[in-house]
Amino acid sequence: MALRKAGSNWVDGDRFFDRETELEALRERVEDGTHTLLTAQRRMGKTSLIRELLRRLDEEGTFETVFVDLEAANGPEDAVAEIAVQSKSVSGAWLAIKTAFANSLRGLGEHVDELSVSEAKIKLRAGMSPGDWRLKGDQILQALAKSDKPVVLAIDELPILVSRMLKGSDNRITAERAQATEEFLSWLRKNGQAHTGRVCLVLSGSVGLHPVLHQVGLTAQANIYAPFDLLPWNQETATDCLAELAETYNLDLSQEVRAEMCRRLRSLVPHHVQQFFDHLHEHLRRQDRHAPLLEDVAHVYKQQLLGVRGQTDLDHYESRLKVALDPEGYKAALELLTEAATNDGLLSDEAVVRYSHGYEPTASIQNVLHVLEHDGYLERSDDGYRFVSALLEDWWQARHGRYFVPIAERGSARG
Amino acid sequence: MAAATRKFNPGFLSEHELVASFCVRTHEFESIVETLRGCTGNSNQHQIVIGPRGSGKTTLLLRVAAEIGRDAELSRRFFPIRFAEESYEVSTAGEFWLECLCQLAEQAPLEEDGPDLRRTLEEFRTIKDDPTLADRCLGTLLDFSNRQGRRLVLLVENLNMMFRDMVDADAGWRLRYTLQTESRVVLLASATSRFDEIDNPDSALYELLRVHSLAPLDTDECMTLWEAASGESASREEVRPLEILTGGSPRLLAIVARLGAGRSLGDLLDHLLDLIDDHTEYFRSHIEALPAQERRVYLALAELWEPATTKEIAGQARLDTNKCSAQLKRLSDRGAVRVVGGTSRRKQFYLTERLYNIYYLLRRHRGPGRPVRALLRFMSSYYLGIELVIAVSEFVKDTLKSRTEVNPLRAAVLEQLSDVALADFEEAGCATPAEQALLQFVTASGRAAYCKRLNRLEEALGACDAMLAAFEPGDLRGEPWPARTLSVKADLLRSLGRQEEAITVCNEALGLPEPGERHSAVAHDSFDAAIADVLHTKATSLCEVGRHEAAADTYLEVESRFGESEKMSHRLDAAAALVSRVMILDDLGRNREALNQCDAVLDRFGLVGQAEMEEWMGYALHLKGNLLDRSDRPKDALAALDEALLRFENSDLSRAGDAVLAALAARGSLLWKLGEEVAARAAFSDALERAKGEQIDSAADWRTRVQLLKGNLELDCKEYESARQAASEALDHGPDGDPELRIHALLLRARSALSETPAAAENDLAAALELLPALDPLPGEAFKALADAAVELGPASLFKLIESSASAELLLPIQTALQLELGREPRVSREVEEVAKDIRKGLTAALQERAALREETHPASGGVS
Repeated sequence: MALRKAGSNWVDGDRFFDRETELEALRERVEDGTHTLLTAQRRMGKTSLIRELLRRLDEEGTFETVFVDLEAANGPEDAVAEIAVQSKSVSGAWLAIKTAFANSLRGLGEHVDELSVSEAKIKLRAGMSPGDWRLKGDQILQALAKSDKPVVLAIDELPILVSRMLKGSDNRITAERAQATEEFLSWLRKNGQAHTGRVCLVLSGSVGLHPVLHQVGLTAQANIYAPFDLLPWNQETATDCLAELAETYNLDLSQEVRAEMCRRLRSLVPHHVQQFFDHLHEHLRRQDRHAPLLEDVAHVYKQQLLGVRGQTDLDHYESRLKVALDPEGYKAALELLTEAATNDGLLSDEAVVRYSHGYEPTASIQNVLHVLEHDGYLERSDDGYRFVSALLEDWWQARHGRYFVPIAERGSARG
Repeated sequence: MAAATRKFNPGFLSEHELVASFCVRTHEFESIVETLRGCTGNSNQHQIVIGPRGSGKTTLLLRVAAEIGRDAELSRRFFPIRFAEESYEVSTAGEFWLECLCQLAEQAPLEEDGPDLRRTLEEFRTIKDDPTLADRCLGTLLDFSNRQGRRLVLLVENLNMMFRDMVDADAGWRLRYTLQTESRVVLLASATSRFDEIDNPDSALYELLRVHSLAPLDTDECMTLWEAASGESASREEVRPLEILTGGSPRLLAIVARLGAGRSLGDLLDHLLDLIDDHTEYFRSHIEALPAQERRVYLALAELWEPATTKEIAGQARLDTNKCSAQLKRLSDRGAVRVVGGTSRRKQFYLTERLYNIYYLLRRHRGPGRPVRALLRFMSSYYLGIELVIAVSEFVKDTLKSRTEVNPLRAAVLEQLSDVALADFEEAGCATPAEQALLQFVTASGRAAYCKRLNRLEEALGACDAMLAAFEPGDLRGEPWPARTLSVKADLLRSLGRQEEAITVCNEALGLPEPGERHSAVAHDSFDAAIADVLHTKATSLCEVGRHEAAADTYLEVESRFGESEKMSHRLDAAAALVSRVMILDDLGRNREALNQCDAVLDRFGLVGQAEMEEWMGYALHLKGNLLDRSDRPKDALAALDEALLRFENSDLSRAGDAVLAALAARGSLLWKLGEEVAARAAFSDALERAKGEQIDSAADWRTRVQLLKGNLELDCKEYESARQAASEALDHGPDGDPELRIHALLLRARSALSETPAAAENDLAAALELLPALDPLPGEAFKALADAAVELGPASLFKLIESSASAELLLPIQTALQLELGREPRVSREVEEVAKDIRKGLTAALQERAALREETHPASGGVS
């Protein structure tokens, strides 16, 4: 079937493009029973990758699969309820889970299995208290481990839940919150270790788990998960994808145009490639044309991807720094990125030194740079750090560059 | 025929009407449907259409719903569920799904084996626990989806308002969860503006929906919609002002198109207020729907018209700035107010619905001189390009008018005679009712005629009523006098500005029984003459109240009644009616039909040969020449004018003199247009000679007009001295008290002097600018002169000149264009800004051309001298 535009929701099956190498690597890990922490920037396609992996495993029938999205979860009770309810498809396990939650499902009798997923989740969530979520969680994981076939338990957006637990609604890390977070991660780690070979955990998130844990010294809690970085597409994959899309939508997308689209993005995040194609297609549709020129590519890049709509799409690059950093670090990150954006994408070593003098302790700038590098904003180059994505660089400059004064031009006031 | 357009709610249209009338937003429609077709996998791409009120969201969603029903593949795969435009009762996730089920219960087909959805709905309404309510409703919806084997497409209107009113903070996340994990549900929503739930990376719907932003319609789309809604095509120049006034809003443009059906666009702009006044329902409902505080802020912003800061709006509304800010936020969420320019701390706001703003200002400030009236006047002149008028139609109208008037002195004599005769007959007691009626009619019509001449119209009207009251209806059956009296009465009512009453009286006359066999030939003729006059009066009255189509039909009625008559006077009436019809079609911008009508009248009466008929043929040919000229067929136009002049050769010049001079002047203009300057000069000289010789009142006026045309020709040929002389001649010897001709002369002299004596040119321009507000419409020559002045004197000097003149308010768009050219950022209304942008396009090109010319003439030196 022809490749169609992916849009903003996750995709699998016919609409999933390439990533064969990554799928193969993940499959090997699953078969080996290796717990994995899949990290990638938002919009890199990690949810789609996991969904596709699970779809293929389901088709082959060698594994049971469970997908859990914790994006809306607020605490361990929500997470456990979510895992429980998504395990409904694992027939043997579901029986044991119902037994474990007998109290909260009492009175439903035969109707338990007719409950919708969200209805069942409510019932299960109501049956848990801060005191017994560990026990209930252990029972669920045990039930999964006892299933006829080994289980792949994919947990999406775990770092978001962890960050929420750490910072609460007031964005402050407290000792109590750190302790609660540690308890949850410790529980997950313990179960992962206990059921190795029977339950394989695949964790993922658009925010790096390590930087979040690093803030409170909990990185050890993540050391059972082998990291797996999902990288942007290479140029060949991106241009192949563009060519397939062009064929589906009857566009005459020359090699030159495709190359120019990739050049402008530089970092070929699948969603950005797709978005670029979508905007270009809509632009041509308005003009009843099918063959874009380089001017069209330039126009769409500036007016759409960097325009008002595009600005909203990229907002998360800024907001998620708040999740990964404390307020002071967040402020420093904005300065460093703007410094680079207004200097042709380069944050020079000299500028880093100057900033380091302006922030105390010096280590905080290094920590910020670590996060920015880890989360794919900047990468090390010979003379400093450079923006990985040209799109993000241009966007950042448009958003923050107007009144920014580079540190070297600020006189002696700061340092 | 215009596609059906129904009030303001496309929900009232039948599916067929909706599809037939859907002519804009087609790209967005294709894109949405294409995305919908792609919803085949385990996840769906959800979509949202964002645009302010009236931008076509509802129509677009309904069109998609219709397509789902019409397209076999879509119909097999999807089932649309349409939410109401305002789902006021939704404040939690549970209520969202309840509303969805409620709509499904109304819209779903009856299923033999399925549950009774209405009963299920009633049962669920009693559920208090919201998560349970949500799950039960969603479960029922999904069951329906399973039974049908189709995905449910939820068409949810005003999603932003729904989220604003949600009391359940978790509702968005719960909705997201379903939309991400449930492939049987596809969301197609609309919103009046972007909102936090989709824009904030921490919010539930962020990056979940594919956004289709509905931009204002561009000029091409406005032309398409105008044609579909009014059934009439319009040029870019005609549509552009409407695009600006409506802000490119499809709904407002459709309303204006309906209001303007049958009117020329110039007429529409001139009478915009009256038209809107007659159709206030839409605007009233708009403002009345707002809560009191929001309304106060909204109206304050309407009063300001220009984009304004919160502080300025608060000052106008006499509200605390914080309160005002909160209300602006709500208005912004509704899409009623938009943010423009300014800085993030000092945002500027303006009303989204620009036509409402205009309507409000026009209603609130009825006096002259307000900026919005000035703008309408400016736009009407600028876009519709009114040049120095050499139109024959005015003279034809004057001629028609004079034909129906009775000589008042002769009427006075007759009245005295008839009074005497009536007294004698009464004394002798031998007059028949018909004879009495004749005498009374002569008395009444004579009195009416001279009272009218003395402008004692009410008195004249009284005489007619007295005549009509003197007889029982049956007494004068078949006699011509009642018809003749009603004809006079209708004409009087029209003169008094009581057109609707005049039309009623005309219809009364047209319903009178015709003379029978027992009546004399004179009675027949008299009755027919009265009916011809009545039809002319009716047509004129209809035109004056904007019912042009009915007027055109009435003229056709004259032709069908009298076109075949053996009496020449009646055939002349028919010819005059058809010529008048040409003028109406021309006014309506229906050039092709007008040309056809010209040819028809020439075919019909062109060979009659009678002197007065030749005159009418001359008018028809002159009108044809004008029409051909405007159809870019100058050679054919010239031929028509030459023939017109031949037809006028034996005319009574006391009546047709103006038309002859107009034809001669127009001939010169056409030759000029054809690049035959020498022949054009000769034609203008010929016209000047004739104007000197003609013994008509307007001879001096004509001499000045022709002088000015000749002067413009000289200017065009860069014969500046000759042009200056012509202008000075017109100024020195032209008719006093005619500001139009004086302004033309001043502008001509200014343009002739700009390059050589700029100070003198500035003086003439300044003098013209003082007089300009007296003209309506503004002449096209004024725009040309100001454009030339901007190039020669520079934008800064011209700006100062206009700013300090009496025309400052009237020429605000030009001032704005000059300021933009100077790199300034004037704060003006969106409409003024848009017009200024159009002006600036020409201005920038002219300035660049001028700079290139200077560079060519005086190249910058390449080295050190």
